[in-house]
Amino acid sequence: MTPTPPRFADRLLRFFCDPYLLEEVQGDLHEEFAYQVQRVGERRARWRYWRDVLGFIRPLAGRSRTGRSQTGGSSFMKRRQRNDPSTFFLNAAMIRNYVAIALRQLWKNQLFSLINITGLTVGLAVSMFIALYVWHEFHYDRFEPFADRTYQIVSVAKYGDQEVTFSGLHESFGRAIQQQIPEAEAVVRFSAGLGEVVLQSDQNHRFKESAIGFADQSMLSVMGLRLLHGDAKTALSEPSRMVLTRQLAEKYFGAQNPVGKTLIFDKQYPFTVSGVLDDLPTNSVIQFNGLVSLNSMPALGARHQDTYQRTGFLTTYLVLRQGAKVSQVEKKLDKVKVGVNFVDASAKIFLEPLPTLHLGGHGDGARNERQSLYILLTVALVILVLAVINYVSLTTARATKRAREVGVRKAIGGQRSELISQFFVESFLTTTLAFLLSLILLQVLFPWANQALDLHMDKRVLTQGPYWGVMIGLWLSCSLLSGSYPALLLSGFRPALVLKGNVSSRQSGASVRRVFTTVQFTASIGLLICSVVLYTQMQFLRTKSLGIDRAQVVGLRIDGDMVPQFSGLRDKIRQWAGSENVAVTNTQLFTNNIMTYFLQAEKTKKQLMVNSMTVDKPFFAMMGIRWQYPPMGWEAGPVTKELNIYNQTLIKEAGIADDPRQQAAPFKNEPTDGVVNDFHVRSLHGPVSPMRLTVVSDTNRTMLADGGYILVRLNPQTNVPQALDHLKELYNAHQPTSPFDYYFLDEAYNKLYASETRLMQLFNGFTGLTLLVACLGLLGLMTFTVEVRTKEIGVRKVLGASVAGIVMLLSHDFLKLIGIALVIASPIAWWAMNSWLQDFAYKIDIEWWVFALAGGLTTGIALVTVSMQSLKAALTNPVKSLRSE
Amino acid sequence: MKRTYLGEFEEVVLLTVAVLELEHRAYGVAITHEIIGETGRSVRLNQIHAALQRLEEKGMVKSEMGEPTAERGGRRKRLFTVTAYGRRTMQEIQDVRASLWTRLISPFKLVTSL
Repeated sequence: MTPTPPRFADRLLRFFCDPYLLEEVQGDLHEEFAYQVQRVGERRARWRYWRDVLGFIRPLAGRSRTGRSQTGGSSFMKRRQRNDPSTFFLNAAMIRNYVAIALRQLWKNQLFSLINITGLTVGLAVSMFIALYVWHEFHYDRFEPFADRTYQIVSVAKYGDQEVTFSGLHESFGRAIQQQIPEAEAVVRFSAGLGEVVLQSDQNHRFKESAIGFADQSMLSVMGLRLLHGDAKTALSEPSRMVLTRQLAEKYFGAQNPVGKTLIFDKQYPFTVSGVLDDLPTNSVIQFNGLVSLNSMPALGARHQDTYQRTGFLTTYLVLRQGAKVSQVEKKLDKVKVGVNFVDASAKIFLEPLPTLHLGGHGDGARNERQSLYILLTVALVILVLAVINYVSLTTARATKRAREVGVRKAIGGQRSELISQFFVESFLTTTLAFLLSLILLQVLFPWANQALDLHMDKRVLTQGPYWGVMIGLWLSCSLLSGSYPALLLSGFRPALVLKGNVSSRQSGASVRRVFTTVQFTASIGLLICSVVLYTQMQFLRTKSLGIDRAQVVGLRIDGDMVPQFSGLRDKIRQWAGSENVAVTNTQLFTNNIMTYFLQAEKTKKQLMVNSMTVDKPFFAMMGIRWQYPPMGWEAGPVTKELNIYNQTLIKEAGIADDPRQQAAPFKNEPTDGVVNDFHVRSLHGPVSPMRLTVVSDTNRTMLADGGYILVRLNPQTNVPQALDHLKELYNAHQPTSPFDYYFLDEAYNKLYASETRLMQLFNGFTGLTLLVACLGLLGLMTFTVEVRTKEIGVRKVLGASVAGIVMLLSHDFLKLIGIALVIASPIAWWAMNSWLQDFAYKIDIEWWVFALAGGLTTGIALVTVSMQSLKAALTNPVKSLRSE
Repeated sequence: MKRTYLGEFEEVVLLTVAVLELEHRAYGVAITHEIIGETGRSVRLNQIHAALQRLEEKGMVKSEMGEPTAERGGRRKRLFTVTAYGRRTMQEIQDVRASLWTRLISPFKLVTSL
């Protein structure tokens, strides 16, 4: 085979070379190549070929060597008139000149440079961070090897007019699919575990762990989980095998390889560690700390066995074969369930693509999540735009100072295109500086911001390609955006006019600057209003009376197998805290783990979703729950038989009027013993659900079968850490089977609003930043105005103007703009916050004072910013300002 | 002297075109090789092309597309011929030089005395 010239060089030539000349030039090059191959061999011929091709496109490189040989012109280039006398405008010498001028400008106007660069740095860093976060959120679960064919099976059932989505399926379902549906390439059954469990490697390493999940063997390969140690093929195939995440492995076994070692699960079941997983990717819905092989579950005691055999607790994933139709498989899945022992036969089966699970799917939260991401992205964009606007308005404001330079450049033959490129070089220089600074800022602040905002973002994101893609995209677009307006405006000056000194600061884009300032303050005020509304709503939620008193209540976890010690422990705690301050329940309040039943009301035949919990008698008095109809003989003595207490909502939904104690039971065989006023045990996003409370006697043990909580109300004056220590002592004195574990009710309640709190924090931060950027811009503009009007102010002072008058003169322009900004921002912010508030069943009204506060605050801050410069100007001795020149 | 200015390098190229034109070989690569062979200086293809373009603009040479050959990947070559104006210019240069040379008494001595 004859050697061919380098293909890429050829393509390069084709790109640059005038098509009219291409044939002969390329022909000559190829002929020369063939000749050189004969003469010096292929390798060196290829070298020469490259050199020759570059020779043809040489004028682009703009080397000054062109002058020496006689081969100067750039007559091979495309898009170029053959007889154009001027040199190519991106010429090395000129670029050097542009950079030099730009640096001098930066150095000469240090205040402006500082404002420009700070504004851009902050804007870029924040928007990069947010862009990164949003990108992370939108790229969940793309890394699995079959991500595009992996689906989660969910069942949707209708209860009345409520659609309820279940993601948990019975254990047999997954097995049935594998046998009955040929399209299923793999099935993965996974559960993140049944609450907390105690793990132990030796006496010193015994901890309570959450999220120790169960999974099929196929989990590892389908979900692309990488093992650091151990064999992926067999890690979960046999009973009594267990895979740990790296973090957990290090906690129990230190640095040594734990594969083959034993870990005791739930106090009595020995497991062999069969693998260690690398840190799980943060952008995945599948999160756990350890995995136990699913087939060992039936042997893990009554609770696990029961769950395994009787409930739908497994998230089931399905990998479809290539080309399989989702809708067809869904239909087949509907038939599958008939043959299987399944919880609800009326439910319809859907397949949710794995990558959409995080933000999409059937969940109610999906819309919210997406919405808040878009809000974030908008805010990031706004901040970036504000920073860019700052640059633009400051640069154009300084245009008068540059006008003479532009005039001279034009007069000695500068083309408009050259001036444009000069100003672009300047903006590139500034943005590049800001960009580098913001990169440093981001690297430094990333871990902190990640933690402060509770974002769970992986540090690994910082090293990924898309991250750099985003960065470079931002950098380029920012440079172009910030450069284009000044470049176009400044390069358009007519030399004759500017050299005569006829361009005033008012002419050069003053109206555009006014618009910019208005935009900046509109954004600041809008964000400020949002922050205020968010804050008031959160305060409202935190302080709203829930019908249950959550202050200073601590809940002690009691494990199911501590039933024998329970009474003793409870009595000890009663002795210590006072019996009116101790109650027992089987439910962790203010979480989503509240038992829910679907019951049909006898009278209305309506399916009701009923929250259900078991409590003891002191619970009502201690938690401040009010009675509507107390049970007969409630005050008389201890409870002797199980009582059914309902809340108002349930009674209403069940269609019962008057005293329900005298009437038919709302549900079959569950007569009403008493009715309580509504109280909340979940977040205020929704109204109170129908609720059933079962009151049991002090001696009853069944309520603790699955574990429960002793609630203790601490005295307001109590030293909390000491009280906790004391409780811990009491607890440890009763031979506990698991470590001391507690939660505070008010903390749990606040945690229900974690995402709202996060949003609020973000908004507070953003508001601060936009205000900062806007004020920087204002400061720059003001400094400039003062500089331009020095002489005017001097004359005014000489003629008797007062300091206050001059300050007013200089500030009223800006104050007017802030007024306009307030008028624009208010309705937008009102609309946005109003739609955000729709997600809450209990919400505040947005009142007029919110707008007044935002407006007043912004005006105040702006005035302070402006007055620094205006006062200085007003106080200057007019002799000074008038003497110059 | 009333003529378009011709650089030394252009002059060499023009002469080479005139020589090679007789064999119908006056195109880029051949001219390059010829000049390298005759003068020993390292000339590159793009320089020749540029010079030829300028000569053509000045009207000293004209060109037409030749036959394609295999080693050029089936591309045609551009064959140059010297125009009458080009010949006259060459002749003028030659005449000017000759007349100056004749005014030297002993040209070879001059060279050695340098």
